[in-house]
Amino acid sequence: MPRMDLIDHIEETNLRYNYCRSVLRSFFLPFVTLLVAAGLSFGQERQVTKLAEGVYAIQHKSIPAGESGNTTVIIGDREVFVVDSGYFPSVAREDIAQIRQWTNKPVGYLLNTHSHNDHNNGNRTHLDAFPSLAIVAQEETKKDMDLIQPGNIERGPKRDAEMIAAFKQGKGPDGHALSDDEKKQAQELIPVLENAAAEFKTIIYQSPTLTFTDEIDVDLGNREVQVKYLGRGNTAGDAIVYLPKERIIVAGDLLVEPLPYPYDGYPSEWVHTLRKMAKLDASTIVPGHGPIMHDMTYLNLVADLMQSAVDQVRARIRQLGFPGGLTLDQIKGSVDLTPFREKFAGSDKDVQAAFDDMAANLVKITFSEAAQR
Amino acid sequence: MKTSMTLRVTTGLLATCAGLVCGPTRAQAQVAIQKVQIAEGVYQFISAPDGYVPTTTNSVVIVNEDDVLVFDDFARPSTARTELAEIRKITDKPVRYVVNSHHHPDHWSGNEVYAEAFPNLEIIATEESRQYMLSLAKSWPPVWASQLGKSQSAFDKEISTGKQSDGTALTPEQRTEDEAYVRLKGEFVAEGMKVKRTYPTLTYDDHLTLRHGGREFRFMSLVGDASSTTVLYLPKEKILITGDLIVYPLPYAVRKLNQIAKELRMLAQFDADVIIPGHGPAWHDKGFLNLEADLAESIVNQVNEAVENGLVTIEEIQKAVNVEPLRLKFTHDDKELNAEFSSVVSEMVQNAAREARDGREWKR
Repeated sequence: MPRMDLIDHIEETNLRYNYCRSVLRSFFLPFVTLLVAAGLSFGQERQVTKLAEGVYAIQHKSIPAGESGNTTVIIGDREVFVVDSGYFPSVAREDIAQIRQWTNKPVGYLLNTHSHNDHNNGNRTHLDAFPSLAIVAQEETKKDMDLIQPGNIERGPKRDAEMIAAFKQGKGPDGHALSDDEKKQAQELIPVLENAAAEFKTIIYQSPTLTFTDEIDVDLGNREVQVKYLGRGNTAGDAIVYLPKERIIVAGDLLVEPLPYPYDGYPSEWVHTLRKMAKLDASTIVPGHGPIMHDMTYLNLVADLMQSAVDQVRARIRQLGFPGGLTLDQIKGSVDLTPFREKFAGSDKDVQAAFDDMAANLVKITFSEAAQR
Repeated sequence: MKTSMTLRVTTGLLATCAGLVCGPTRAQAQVAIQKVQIAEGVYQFISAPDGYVPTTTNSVVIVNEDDVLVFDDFARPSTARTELAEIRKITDKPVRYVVNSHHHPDHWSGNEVYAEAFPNLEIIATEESRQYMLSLAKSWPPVWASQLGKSQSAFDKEISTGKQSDGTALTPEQRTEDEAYVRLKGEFVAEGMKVKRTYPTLTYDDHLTLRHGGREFRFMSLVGDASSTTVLYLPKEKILITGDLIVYPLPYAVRKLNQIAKELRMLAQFDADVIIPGHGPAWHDKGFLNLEADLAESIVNQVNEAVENGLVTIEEIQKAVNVEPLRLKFTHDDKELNAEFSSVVSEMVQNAAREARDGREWKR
């Protein structure tokens, strides 16, 4: 992992904002533009939280070139269960070193909560470290990964190279001429992107090896781990982990804080999946990104937001007729999610802007989902 | 076999295991197993009758790139130990996975052997099978002891009266056979009392696919003779391992016949060159699979028709069902198999009649 000495001074910036940008960036939006526009900064430091005896959540250090999803480590008497393997092999290596400090038991299972590669690019690193490892995913997640991820490993460095080239010409990726301030930030970003691209090229795609449809239960040795598919949501194959005794949920990107992540997925089903998750008896929730939660408040807020989007899009479709012949432009003006803006973003303008962007995408995928019916 | 039939149906006085099961001087013979290579790295291990079931029992050993998967591990830990010794002759790779097709004891009582030898072992089953194991296994030893007591009493009575339970004279051959049966059963029960129950560590509900060590293992939960039986399909090797969904020479699966028939027809669609049943030889065609499907289907159809025609009692329905055209295909006119066929069909008809009457499939 490249050391970000040049921009250490910016790290004091409020982590929430960094995170918003990181979220927005990750889905191939003109993310550097957003980054630069918002003021380059780097997110949280790596943070480990002990959730229960032998259960740890790792929030990875956030860098502009790619944010790793949270990793959760569950240690049993016989073996270890890991949830998600991060965006970079170096992140996985750091996690493995940490696990080896905690226990000499092997990692027997690595779950990919879903197909997005900020949760599974470290698969191969784990498999190399623990050759008898089973890499678990819901069947649809494996299908999506096999379709998309091999290409991502080539597309990522290409995208980075294009951005670097644009920066070097004094332009943003969208072609706009960078201001002096932006140029300075771009110069700082170039080595980060170069390092990331170089590391990305070392990734060997590793598909899940153990796939399931509804649920698997694993006994790690006096530690029961339930892996559940509660329905579609953020992707077609979101798996969550539930520890019934410890009352812990590991939610993957079905829950992302401070803003949800609706740049993919199935909002109408996502609501139901979240409502099902809310029925589990839990006092701790590890989201896909962001800090650990200790109640269902945020989960319910996300479900309410999505329900509102779904209801409003459907109401508009009822006015206009079958959605197959409609366009997003005919729909989006009738959907107002601003009542949720403050609940998510407070009074902060940056987060509010990020909320608006997220909400626009939520409407887009809600309409897209409805139009496919 | 007549021996087993006679002693198994005995309902004599309850007895303890004293003298037979617990006798310290009785030498415990190991159950013989036979190895049959099915494909590269795939072996069927066939145990001789072990005192739990009168037929042979199958376990399948699959050698992967770096480790081994074992599908079912017998009714006795000692048989699993023999199997493990045989595996050692084939490969020094560790056993990484054991699969228990379902909760009946002849499919998972060797778990302790593999778990002890391989701390890294994962034991795969359906969650429902695991739940049955957890709830039922403790109740088995006293039941077995009781059954053994009955068999022992029946045998003692044969000796004292010089007659079999049907009144015919006990011949020396029959006496030897019966004595061997009771001894084998005693050995099973003695071992069964001491099984260290070792439960699945990886359970699933519907489908589970493991891509591991150069192979693809597709596990699916079907009904079989116990609900949530795991059937394993290896698409590359074209091998289907069915647990007790298929049993030779006569089916064990006598309930939920409508479902059973559908599942067997579904399995017949699989691209499989070899079918390994829970008990019996490996098949290299789908003849026996389809025969079991024919039997289940025929009974369900005839029972449903009988019920629609207004027949009510089990006796009336039994009389209305005729599967004689299938009999010879199962029994080849073997006298004892003929008797067992009639008994199995009678049980199937009775269950199918209940299911038809209740409008739902009868659960045990």
